[in-house]
Amino acid sequence: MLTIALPKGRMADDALTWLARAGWSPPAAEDARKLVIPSEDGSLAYLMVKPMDVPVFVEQGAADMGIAGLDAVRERAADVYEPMLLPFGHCRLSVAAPADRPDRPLRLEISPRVATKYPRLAEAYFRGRGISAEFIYLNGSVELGPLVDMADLIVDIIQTGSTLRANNLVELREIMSSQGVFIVNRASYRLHAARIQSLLRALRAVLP
Amino acid sequence: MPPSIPRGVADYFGGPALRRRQLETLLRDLARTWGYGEIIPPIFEYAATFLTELGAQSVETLYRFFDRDGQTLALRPDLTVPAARIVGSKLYDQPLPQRYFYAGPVFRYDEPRAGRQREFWQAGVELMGAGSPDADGEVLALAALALQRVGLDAFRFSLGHLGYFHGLLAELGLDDAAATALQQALDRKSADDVRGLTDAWGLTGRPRDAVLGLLDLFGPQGDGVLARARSLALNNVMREAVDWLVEVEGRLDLYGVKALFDIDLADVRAMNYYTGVTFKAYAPGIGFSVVNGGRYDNLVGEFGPGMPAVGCAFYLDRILLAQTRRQGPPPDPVPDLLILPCPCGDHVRLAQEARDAGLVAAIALGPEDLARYPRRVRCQCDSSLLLETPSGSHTLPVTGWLERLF
Repeated sequence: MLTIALPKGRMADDALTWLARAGWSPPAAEDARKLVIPSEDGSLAYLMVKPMDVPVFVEQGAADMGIAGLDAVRERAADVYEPMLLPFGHCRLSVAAPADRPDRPLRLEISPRVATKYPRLAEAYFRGRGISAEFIYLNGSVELGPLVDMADLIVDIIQTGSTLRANNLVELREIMSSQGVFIVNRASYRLHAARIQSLLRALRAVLP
Repeated sequence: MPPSIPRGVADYFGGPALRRRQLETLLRDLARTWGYGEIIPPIFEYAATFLTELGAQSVETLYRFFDRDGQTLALRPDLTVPAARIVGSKLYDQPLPQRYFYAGPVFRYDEPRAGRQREFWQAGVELMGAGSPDADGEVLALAALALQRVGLDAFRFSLGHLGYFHGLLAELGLDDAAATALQQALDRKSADDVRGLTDAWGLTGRPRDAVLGLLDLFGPQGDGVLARARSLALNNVMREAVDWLVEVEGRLDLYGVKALFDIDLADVRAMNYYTGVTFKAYAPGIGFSVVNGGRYDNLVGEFGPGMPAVGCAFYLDRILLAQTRRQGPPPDPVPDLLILPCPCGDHVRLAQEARDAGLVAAIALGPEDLARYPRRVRCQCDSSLLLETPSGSHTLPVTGWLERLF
């Protein structure tokens, strides 16, 4: 039985829709609190995990495959195969600041406080520009950082920008653009090659 | 003193320590029967040894320190480079080929993951001075048979040849940055990124087909992978890589291990020093390769007269993890016999007789948890002894007691 890790939340619905279109056996209806759900035909197990943890489950081999955001794959620096981009979960990881921030280049910041859920990518971005930022690692509500004067900047995911606007923030720089990506464990790719290839082919056939 | 140990190292004892040594012994004994003698390099060397252009490691992953002369030393990050140094600088004029086995801890300053700490154990074989498909076949077959011997089932090897990718790069005339971008996209098996690059470079025709086709050059032997690879090849370097793999396949067939190998010509991540075939083994339950190897014809030349070489390293920690997933945790070793001391002193002789016969015998030194020992021996000091076993007690004469034991 192959195991696929899916990100709990909005992306899971998209993921399941596309997998169903590709003819994958859907998760059997069960207790919604269960974290491991067998597929209806018993050939697969669905693992429902936090979006940021999908790449970790796949890298470690706890799941053979997964559907994750590219942002999560890069943030966790997961050593996995990424055979297919998926047509959902589009967003970008960006630096944002209060709307009233004076208009000047980021590189003139001396030691900005940066609130983020993405410590690795945020640090790489600022370090790559020679800015010694101070990072404040948060697990959510990152936009709050500047509002309560805990942070000068944030690094966060932006989809439509409405959350930013609601909190009087503006996007300054895009760090990366992200979308859903199908990932496969490096060992599973070989050990279950035929099965995974045929699942991938079925999925590729229905993608736009 | 704090009771802790630094991040990235581990203490081993009991069953896990025993199983680790047994695995190392199994591999050493197997390699010896193939003519591989042991090479025992030092734990640390000059850092420069590992930092040649072809070296194994980037400088950040080396554990470096100074000796009193101000020389920069480094803990060895692998054992292939020391083996190449020893052969290149000392043994180059000895008869070739030379076959070496090694085993021991290596050290890399990177994030611990999946059964690999910062100190981890490798065993491996290096076949120096032979540049033929026969030599590749020998090392590949030895690796496959070793994993069978270890008792990992359902493992698979992936086999590639860097010449195919290098030939492609030469044909495309990409600069270093572009070549790296292609290598990384292939390493992620990201068809979208590979297509994006070919579009960005404006590739058309056969070069475009060759790049886009690379990711499909994966699959079990007999699946036509090599035939497809040959039809996509743009030059002789690429065709020669395919021909070489066909030759190697033939050798694997002779050993009866061919079916364990998949071809993967898009597996282009490898140590800098590899030049020809590369291979990795994967086992169920471990998300990472358990064996890495390949041909490195230029590395020995960094340290002396050049010569072709091929070898592989077993990641012992990961193999042990795979074994534990299959067989459960190793039981702690328990002596076969507990000899209880007696007034006449014959218990020492009984213990020595048992030890000489190859049994593991311990003499009780004080209050012991008797239930830990499957068999206990009490000398009765009258030329007889009482043997206590889970199935009951028996009186045996001291003379010839060992023969009656089992």
